[in-house]
Order: sequence, then structure tokens, then C-alpha cells
Amino acid sequence: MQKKLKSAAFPLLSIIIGLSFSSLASIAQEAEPTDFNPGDFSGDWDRVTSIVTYSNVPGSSRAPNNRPMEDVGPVAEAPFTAEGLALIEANDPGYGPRRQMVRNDPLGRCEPMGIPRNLTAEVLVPHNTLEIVQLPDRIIQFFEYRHDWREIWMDGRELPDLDIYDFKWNGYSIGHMDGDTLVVESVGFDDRSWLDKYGYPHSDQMHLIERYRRIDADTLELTMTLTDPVVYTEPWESDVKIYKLNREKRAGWDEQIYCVPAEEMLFQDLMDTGNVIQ
Amino acid sequence: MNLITRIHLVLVTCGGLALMAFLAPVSAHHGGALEWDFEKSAGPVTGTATQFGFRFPHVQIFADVPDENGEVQKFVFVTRWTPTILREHGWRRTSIVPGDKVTVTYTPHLSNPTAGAITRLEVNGELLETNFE
Repeated sequence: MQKKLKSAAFPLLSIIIGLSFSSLASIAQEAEPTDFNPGDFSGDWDRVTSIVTYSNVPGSSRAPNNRPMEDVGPVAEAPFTAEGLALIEANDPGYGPRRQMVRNDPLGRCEPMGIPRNLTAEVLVPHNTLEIVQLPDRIIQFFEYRHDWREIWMDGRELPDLDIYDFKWNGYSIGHMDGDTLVVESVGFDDRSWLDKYGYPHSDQMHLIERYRRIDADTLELTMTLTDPVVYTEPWESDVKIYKLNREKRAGWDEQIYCVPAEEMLFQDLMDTGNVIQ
Repeated sequence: MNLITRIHLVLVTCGGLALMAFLAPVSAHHGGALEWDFEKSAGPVTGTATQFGFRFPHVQIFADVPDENGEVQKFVFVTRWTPTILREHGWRRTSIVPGDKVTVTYTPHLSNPTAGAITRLEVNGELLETNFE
């Protein structure tokens, strides 16, 4: 009996050790997925690049954890028209070189951030998530901060006639694939929103092109071209924004970060910003 | 790179990312970065909590704080961190209730003398962690 047990021990031990290594290898393989479909943009994406404005304007570099960083360059001021300069002078942000104690950022009055401000994910981990959901006829982007969303129609429709349709906070967007690049074209923006937290303006004539490219399983790249002849003398390119896939996001719960006017107005009043609805 | 090294690298990276999350200040992402006088520290002052707002963007503690003349000043103290991050460190919406004694060291507001950004907080004599750096 003892001989039988001894003779069975080594094979059994080998099987156990083999299964253990197999499990570890399987875990390692699952932890590092490399296969991906470049036409699949779905998932939870966290901004990881430092520019917190539409593009790399002076003073814009802050890390996702809100630490000041060296300007990553090239730094360039926006190509303002005369009216554009007047508009930015009228904006009193709480951030950036033009920041003021008494401010009028629409964000502080619970007004929608709009596009592209929703995309620049100016808030911090763990609340800077952009979720992309792909449906057969459209793509939906959910923005955790302020609990907003927008549609990008992929059904071949044309942009709406703005003589008929009103201007909207997130505009109207259509998209198509150009190779592995998702190209999104948008018009019809309400001009009350700001491009970003530094108060860069836009008019209701803004025409925005976004280009998304999934460059590896965990990395999404976004570049934008903004054309707004009222505010900017020429098309204005954004910096390259990089997002990383957050595979753990849905293990938690949606924080439902609404802006509640009663709470926000109280806070603005306490902080003496003057940014309250009269 | 062998298997053990790869697993170790994954664990170290996850730990680093988690630490980065906890190092994320949220000073006034409701629209400003100018409210606080970071050159100064005020307190500690002790008062009685009257309201506890465990909500975005900044958790707020309202408290009646007697001044040196015994007159009650109505203070608001805010946290640097969101409820999500505080929850990871044991905070709950019931961590403070009206009537609790709060002792606060804070960064004063630039223009509102009864507003402060908490740097240290005790509730009924027990430290409630607010500084994760």
C-alpha cells in the first residue's frame, strides 16, 4: 500500500504543480491583453496627458493629479480675431493666467460644459472618465463629471440645417471611419459654453473635427481641429490628447456627479466668487 | 521577462496608480483655484457641527464656532477630496452628525473669514483622516 502511495505521489505532485503554473500563466495572460479591434472605441477612458485646455496654451500643463507641470511645448496662444480677444477678456475664469477671484465660468452655475470641454476631462482621477459605447447606428460618449452625454451619429446622415435647428450645448455630431480613425464632425454649438477652464471662447459658428485612434489595446488618441471664423483667424489644432483604458471602472458604481444648483450656488456664495444666479 | 517579473510589474504599476489617485487634490474644480491663502494655517478651532454635506464636489462641514469673545461664528469647512476618495479612507455620510464636536485646523479663505479648507480634523476627539499625502 505504502509503495503504491509513494509511486503515485510524484505524478500527482507533478500534476498539481503543472496546474498551478498553468493557472498563473492564464492569469498573466488575462492581465495583459494585447489583442484589440482598432475600430472598437468602447470602454472607460481616463485622460493622462497634461494639457487641461483645448490646446497647449500658455500655462496649461497640469498632470491628471492636478500637479503643475513643465509646459510640454510647443506652447502657442490661440489665433484670436479682434472679436475673439474681446470675448476672452470678458470671460473671468478661476484657472489659468487670466484667473480671477470673482468669476463667471458657466461651470460654476451648473451650466453644461459642452463640447469640447467635456472631452478635455479637466477633473481629476478617479472622476475624469469618458465612457464610449458603440451602437450599430451611433456612438454615445458618457462623461462622468457632470453626468453628461452626447451622440455621434454613424448612420450616414448629414449635419442639420442650422437655419432650422437650434444651437445646442453639445452641438450635433456625425461620424465615419477613415481607415482606423474615427472622424467626428460637429456644428450647432451654443456659444454660452467655454472651450475649457481657462475661458477660451467659441461662437455658434464653431465647426469641430475630432479624430480618434485606438493605437493599442489600452490607449486612445484624440486630436481636434476647430474652425470658428468669428473668434479665430485660422483653424486651430489641439494638442494630442491621450486616454488610457480603465478596465476596473465598472467594478465600482457610477458616482452620478450632477451639478445640483442649490448646492453649487451655496458653495459659490460661500467662496465669494460672485458666480451665482441672481 | 519571466512570469514572476511580469506579475510583479503589474502589481507595482497598480499600486502606483492607486497611490496617484489618492494624491489627487480637487481644490475647487467647481470653478476656481484662488480661494485659499496657502501661505497661512489657521486654528485649531473647536465648534459644534450643525450640518454635514457628504457630497460633490467638496465635502462640507458647517459648524458653530465661538470666537475669543464667546460669540458664535458660523463656519464652513471643506475637504480637498471628493466623497469617493474619502469613502476609500473610511468616511461615511454619517461620519459627522449635528451636535458633534469638531476641532479643525485649516487653510483660511482669502476673503471669507469663516471659510476654511481642512488640513486636520478631529470629531469628538477622534482624528478623522483628511490628509493622504
